[in-house]
Amino acid sequence: MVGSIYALIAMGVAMIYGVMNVPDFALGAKAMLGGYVAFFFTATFHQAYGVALVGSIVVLALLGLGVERWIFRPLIKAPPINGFISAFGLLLVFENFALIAFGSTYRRILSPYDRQVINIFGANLTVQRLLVVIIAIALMVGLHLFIKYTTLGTAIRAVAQNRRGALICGIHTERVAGITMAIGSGLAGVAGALVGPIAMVYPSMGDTLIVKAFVITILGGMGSIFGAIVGGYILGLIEALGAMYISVDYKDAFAFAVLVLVLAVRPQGLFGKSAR
Amino acid sequence: MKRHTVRAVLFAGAALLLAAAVPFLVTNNYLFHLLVMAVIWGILATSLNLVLGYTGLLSLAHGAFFGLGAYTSAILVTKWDWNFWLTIPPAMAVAALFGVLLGLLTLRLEGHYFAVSTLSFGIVVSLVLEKWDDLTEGPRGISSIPAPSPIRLFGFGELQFESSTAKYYLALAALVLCLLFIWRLIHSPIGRALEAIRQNELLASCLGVDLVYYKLLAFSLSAAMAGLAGVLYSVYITYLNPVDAGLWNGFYAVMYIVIGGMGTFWGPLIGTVFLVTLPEFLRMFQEYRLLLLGILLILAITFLPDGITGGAKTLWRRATLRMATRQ
Repeated sequence: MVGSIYALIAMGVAMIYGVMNVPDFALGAKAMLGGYVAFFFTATFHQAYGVALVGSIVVLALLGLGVERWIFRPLIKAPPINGFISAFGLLLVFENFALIAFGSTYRRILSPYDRQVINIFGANLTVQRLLVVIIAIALMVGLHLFIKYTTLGTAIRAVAQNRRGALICGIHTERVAGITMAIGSGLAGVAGALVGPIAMVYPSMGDTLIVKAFVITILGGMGSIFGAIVGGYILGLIEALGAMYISVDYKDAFAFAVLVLVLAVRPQGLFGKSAR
Repeated sequence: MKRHTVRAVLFAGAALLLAAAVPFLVTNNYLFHLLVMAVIWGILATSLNLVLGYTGLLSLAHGAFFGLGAYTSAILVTKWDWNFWLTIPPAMAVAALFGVLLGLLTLRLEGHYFAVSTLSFGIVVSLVLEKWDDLTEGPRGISSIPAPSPIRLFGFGELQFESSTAKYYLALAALVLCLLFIWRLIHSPIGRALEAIRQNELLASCLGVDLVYYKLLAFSLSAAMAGLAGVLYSVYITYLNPVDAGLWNGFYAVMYIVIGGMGTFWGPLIGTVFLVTLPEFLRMFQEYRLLLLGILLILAITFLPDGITGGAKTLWRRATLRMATRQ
C-alpha cells in the first residue's frame, strides 16, 4: 500500500528527471496540494471521492504545465543545479501557500471506502487501502502502455534519450517537457488524494514523501520508470518488514541504509544504465 | 604582489573591518542575532563551497556534519563536563570521520546518485539523534549549553564569552580562519587538482589526478569545517535538537551558495548574509515571508544564473566597457 504511493511519486520523479534533467523536489508538495484539492472536492463541494481523485489529477496537471512553462523552461541552458534550487523555491512557495491558505490543521478526506473492511486470504484490510493499490497499479500499467505504444509516448522516450537528437527529428521538445511535467504532477496529485483518507492531509506531508521518492528513483536507477515502480514496492516492503522484525523506531532509517548499500555495490542503481 | 592579489587583500581588509564594526553599528537586537547566525551559516556555506563550488560535488549531508559537530561538543560539555575549548577538536574529528566513511561509500557515485546518497545519510543521522535518547535526549534536545569558559590572558584579565557580542567575535574569528584556510588550499596544488576534477573528471584522472584521494580530502576537510560551524551554533543558541542536524540546514547552505555565486571565494558569504538578513526586511509581510522567499529564490535563479557575484561581475564589465567606449 505505502509502496504504491511511493511508486506513484517516484514515477513522476523518474519521468521528469529523464526528460528535463531536473530533480523535482517540489513533487512532494504537489502531492500535498493534490490531497487538499481532493479534500475540498469532497468536503466543500460534496462530490464523490472518485470525482475528487480525477479533480486532483486535472488541477495538478495544469499546475505542472504552468510550472514547466514559467519556471523550468527559462532554465534549460543554466547549470543543472539551478533547476534544483528552483524546485526548492517552489517547495517553499507551495508549502507556505498551503500553510497560509489552509492552515496547519490536519485534515482527513472522507472516503466511503475507508469504513468497509474486507477479508483477503485471512488478512483484514479496508477497501480504501485495496483501492490505493488497484488505482496505483492501473495508473502504472496505463502509463507504461502510453509511453510504449503512443506517438507522444515515443516522443517522450526520445527526448529522455537525447534532447538534441529529438529536436533534430522534429519533436517539439519543450511541449514534450510540459506534458511530462503535467503527467508527473498529476501522478503526485493523485498519490496525495489517495493517501488523504488513510493518513492526514497537512502542509508538510510532502516532505517525507518526496525524500523517499528520491531514494526510490535512485534505488531503481535514475530516469528508469520500471526501476521506480519496483523500487517503490521494495522500499514499502523493507519498511514494513524492518519495523516488524528489527525496530519500529528506526523504520525510516532502513530504506536509507539499504540505498547506501545498494549503491556501494551497484553505483548506477538496480535498473539504471551505467554511464561508462 | 600581483595586482589582483592586492585588490583581494584590500577587499578582504575592508570586509573584515566592516564585520568587526558590526556590534557597534547594529543596535537592533534581532538584526544583530541574524548577523551572528549569518556568520555561523557563513562557515557552513564556505565549507560546503569547497565541495560544491570547487570540486563540483552536490553534498546534502552538510546539515548532518553540522549537527554531528554541534552534538559532539554539546554532549561532551553538558554530560562529561569537558572544557568547551577542548571539545572543538573531537567535534571536528567526528564530523570528518563520518565524512571519510560516507565519502568512501559514495564518492564513486555520479551526480544525482551522490546527492541523494548524502541526503539519505543526513536523514539517518537526524533520525539516530532523535531516537538515541540516552545520549542525545531525543526529541527534547539538549538545553542550557553553557557559554565557552573564559580564557585567562596572563596579566590582562580574562576574555569572557557570555555576551552575544563576544560570541559574535568568536564566530567571526572562526570564519576568518576558515576563509584563510580555504584561500591557501585553493591556491595550492590540491586546489588545482580539485578544480581539474570539477571541470572534467575523466581528463583529470587521465592526467594522473587521484580522484578518490582528492575528493575524499576535500569532503572530509569540508565536513570538519561544517562540524566547527555546528559547535559555534550550539554555544550561541545554547539549545540543540535533532532538527538542527536535519536536511534543511544542508539545503539552505546550498541555497546560500548558489544565490551568492557558486565556486567563487566571496559568493557563499554574500549569499548567506543576503538570505539570512532578508527575512528582517520582509518582516512587514509577516506570514507571507517564506512564500516570498521562495518566489525571490526562483526569480533570482532565473535572472541571475551565476548568483549575485556573477551578476555583479557582468554589470561591472558592462559599466567599464561603456566608460571605455565613451572616452
